[in-house]
Amino acid sequence: MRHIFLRSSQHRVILESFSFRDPLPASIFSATSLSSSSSWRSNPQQRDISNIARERTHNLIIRHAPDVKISPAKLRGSILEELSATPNFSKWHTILTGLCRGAEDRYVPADEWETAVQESRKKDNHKDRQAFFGSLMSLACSFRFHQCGASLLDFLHSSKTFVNVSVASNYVKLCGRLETPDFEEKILAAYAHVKRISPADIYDMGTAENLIAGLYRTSRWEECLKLLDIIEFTGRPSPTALSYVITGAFAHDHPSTALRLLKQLSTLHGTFGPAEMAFTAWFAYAKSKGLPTVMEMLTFTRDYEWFIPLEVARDLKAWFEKEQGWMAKFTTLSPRGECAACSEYMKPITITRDEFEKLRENFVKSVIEGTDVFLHTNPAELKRYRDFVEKNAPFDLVVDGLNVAYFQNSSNHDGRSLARQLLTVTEHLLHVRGKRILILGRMHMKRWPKSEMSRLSSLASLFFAENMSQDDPFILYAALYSGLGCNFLSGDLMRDHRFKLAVKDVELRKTFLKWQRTHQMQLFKVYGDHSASLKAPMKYSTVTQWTESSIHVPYLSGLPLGLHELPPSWLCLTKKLPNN
Amino acid sequence: MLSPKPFKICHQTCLALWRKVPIQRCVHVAAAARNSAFSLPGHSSQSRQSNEGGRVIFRRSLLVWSSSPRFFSSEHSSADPPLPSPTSASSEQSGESMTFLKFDDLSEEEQKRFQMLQFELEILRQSGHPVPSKITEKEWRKVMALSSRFSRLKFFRFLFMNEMSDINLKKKKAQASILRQAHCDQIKAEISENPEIMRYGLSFNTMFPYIRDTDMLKTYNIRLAYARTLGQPIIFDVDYDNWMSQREQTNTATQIRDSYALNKESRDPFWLQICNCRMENETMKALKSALPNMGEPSCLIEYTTKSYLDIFPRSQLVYLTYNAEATLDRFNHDDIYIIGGLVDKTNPKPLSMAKAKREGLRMAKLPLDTYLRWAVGGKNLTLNQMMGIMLDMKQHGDWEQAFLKHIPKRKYLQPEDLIPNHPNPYHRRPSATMRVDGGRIGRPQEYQNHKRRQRGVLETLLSK
Ligand SMILES: [Zn+2]
Repeated sequence: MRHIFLRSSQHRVILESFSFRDPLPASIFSATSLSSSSSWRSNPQQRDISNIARERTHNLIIRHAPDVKISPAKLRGSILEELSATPNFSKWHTILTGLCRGAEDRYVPADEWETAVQESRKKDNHKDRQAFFGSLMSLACSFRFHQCGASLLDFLHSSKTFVNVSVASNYVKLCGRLETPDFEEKILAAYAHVKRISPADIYDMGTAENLIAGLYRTSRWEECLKLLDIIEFTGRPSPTALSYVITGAFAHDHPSTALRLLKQLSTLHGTFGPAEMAFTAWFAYAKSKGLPTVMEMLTFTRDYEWFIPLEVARDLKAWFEKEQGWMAKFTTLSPRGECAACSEYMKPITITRDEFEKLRENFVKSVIEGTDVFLHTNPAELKRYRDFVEKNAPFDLVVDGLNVAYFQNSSNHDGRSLARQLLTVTEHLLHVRGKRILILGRMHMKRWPKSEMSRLSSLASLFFAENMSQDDPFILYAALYSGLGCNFLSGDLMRDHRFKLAVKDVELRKTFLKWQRTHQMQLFKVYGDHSASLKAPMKYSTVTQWTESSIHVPYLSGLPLGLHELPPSWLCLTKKLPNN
Repeated sequence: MLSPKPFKICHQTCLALWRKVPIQRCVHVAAAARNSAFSLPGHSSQSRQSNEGGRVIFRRSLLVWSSSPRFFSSEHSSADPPLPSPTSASSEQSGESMTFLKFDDLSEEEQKRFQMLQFELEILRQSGHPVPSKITEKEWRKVMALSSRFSRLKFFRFLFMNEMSDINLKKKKAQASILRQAHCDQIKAEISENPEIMRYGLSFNTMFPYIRDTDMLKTYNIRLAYARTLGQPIIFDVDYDNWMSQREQTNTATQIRDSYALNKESRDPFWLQICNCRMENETMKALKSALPNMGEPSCLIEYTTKSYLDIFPRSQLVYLTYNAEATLDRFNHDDIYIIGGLVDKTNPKPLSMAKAKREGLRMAKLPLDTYLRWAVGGKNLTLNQMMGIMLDMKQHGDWEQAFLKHIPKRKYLQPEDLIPNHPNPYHRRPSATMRVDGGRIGRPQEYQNHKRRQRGVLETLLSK
């Protein structure tokens, strides 16, 4: 069973066991597209366990089978992604497979087109009748059925039907994916047709992106830049569109334009990097110029916090092995940041004092004071809490009491067992770390059995918030107040608070994320009543880094990643020592 | 003797009035009787006229159907006439000439963007997206305010759905009118066979007067006016405009409109007030278009920019919010209940609770858990459901009955599927001990009597 998570589409489509040549059954799309959040938001603890367990399996896959080809699945994924954007696609898909006799591309004769059109005219409503040709062309484009697309165009010409913009622009895109030598003239002919319909260069985003997807390979690729400007009238260019143009620019040897566009991509879409194709073109260009340009490319990806895709990592590995004579290995890191291949330690994530101070100040301003205080708490309680923290700080660890007590404890909700679990974890933490701990609880926890609670209060500082209050801001506040040395233990991903910071300042959000990654601990498992295992905060920074003798590059292995999760897969490149 | 001039009378209405059945049920009958446009040929001119009216409606709806669905625009207010389609009618065949609309007040840049949006609409249509066949100027301006393609797609889909539901409604109406016409023809045929016979019954000769809509409206308004002077107030607080998306704002407005209708038709209405309203807010604009006569003397709905704190004594105010800790066990006829005018579908936050906390008001949630076992979804109810429950509570004070009537069935487990004292809490009927006499006190008493009787039978059996 293999899962493909589509990052950009609204739904996560889960595909069960497929082989590439099968026609896509329509039922897949309707039955297994899940609404993204509801099912896994309901049980955060289960999610946490699966996250950590998944991580371990991934490490195994990355280390032991790095060269597994997953490109058919990837192509499949991109087809699905495009299809999910096509309205009513299961119906068009049935028609297309009917015309193409299964999943094979073929030249459909005009009379078969004629019958298909007549049938659709009989059955369909007005809306679908209008969309017949456009939808079929866009589907043919998604499946890379070039002959089918060409036959549709020929049919339209022979039956003297007007070729509308939707058909023509999708045909341009289809030809952009064509491998035969005559693609250029086909693209330019269709492009000329579109230009004839809209002489004043008025295009919507979809059309412009389709045109770019074909045009970037031709000699008129520079018109793509104009199309990008047009897109900006009604929206912002997608990473895919920008990636096409970047690829075009590198392929036509215009590195300055490409670099400008890469910068634009970074400002528009942040850490959402260029597509694989653009990376490949970039690397091909850099390779031809030699090692310094390759290093420049790696510096660029480091500065923009992008990760290279697997295909490029493979190219990179091959190139370093063959051309430069280095040692290259796919690898993973230990939690402390040690490379499994060469035992070198990665650089730690550093948060400067200034950054941290700024984060703390802003957090108090925008999350605690800035928003409606009454949403999380009330002023009297906030005052009580802040006094409490001021008196007892600094802490070494702030614990989300309810999260710990209810962890793995979905059936047994009586006070004694919850209190016992919290006590076990606290004892374990004290034993392992020997630290000053703050446990944040709710008022209703005071009703838990006296013996456990008094033992708990002798081990750690306890604060009980009112039952109606939200505790995440409290936890973050105490952890930030205690300084850089303080960690916090919570299963919550704190997205809400990150967004509140992000409204004002992107830099600040990055700092927050960095701080959260290096200071958040999560429970992994509680063993009966004696110990627990924890997921330690991350120690190293996941960016390309190099020393005199080695380069370590994190890459996207194609395995699914959660939002704001960093890839665990690395490429280790080391210089061979001269005497070996 | 029967009067020579036959009335058009609703027999059932009068019977119902006689038996003191709630009046709103009768209205449908009255309306149905009038709409059916039965009449006898050669009788009063008035009835013939209404018959003609019925036929005209019928003809027009047929005509509408024979033309293409493009005929309809999604906006139906007469103040906002649909614009001609930007492209030629059948883009299937000849899209060669793209013509664009122009608004005079747009700058060069905006004009170009507007053209691109029109182009986009055409392309979306060509690729089979659900888009409306026509867009009014007002809607175009809304489209222009949307910055991303995704949000425009959503808006177009919304308009398309509106258009389709309008078309379906017209279709249904046309079918109904065909049936009605057939029935009418049949009766006419019967009458023409035997014109001498005197007929009795609905829309023939009866002794009951016909109650018109205007009469009903007068009755309602009298009740509302009574509530305005002596009745219990209830407040909608529309202070949450900034927290809602445009869709949610319109939803709020329609829900307030529905609540107003519920209140109006109630036998014992509240004095409905809308507080904290600012007319420039989207919610109020939407409410204004949902209730066009709002603010005129004919509409007895009251709205004010003031806060409820300035109007009513603080001690009487109770904010109803589902985040509250306290439960409203008993409906108090002296309290003034506040319902937060807030629809939060996407991103629920305890906003109304925060507001009540800040203003130091009493808060309460409905005793849902005491009476129902919740099945799906959040425990927040729509505004009209809240209004319905409060109206029922005012009338009979039985929470269970009010909940079962107004909360959608899918949201709770049906009481007959629940078992008292079942070990699994999911199947257990909510405990009756929690219910104070604001609830339905009849049942536990009955239940105990039943038990006592059973025990008595057992004892007599054992003693033998
Ligand atoms: Zn290494």
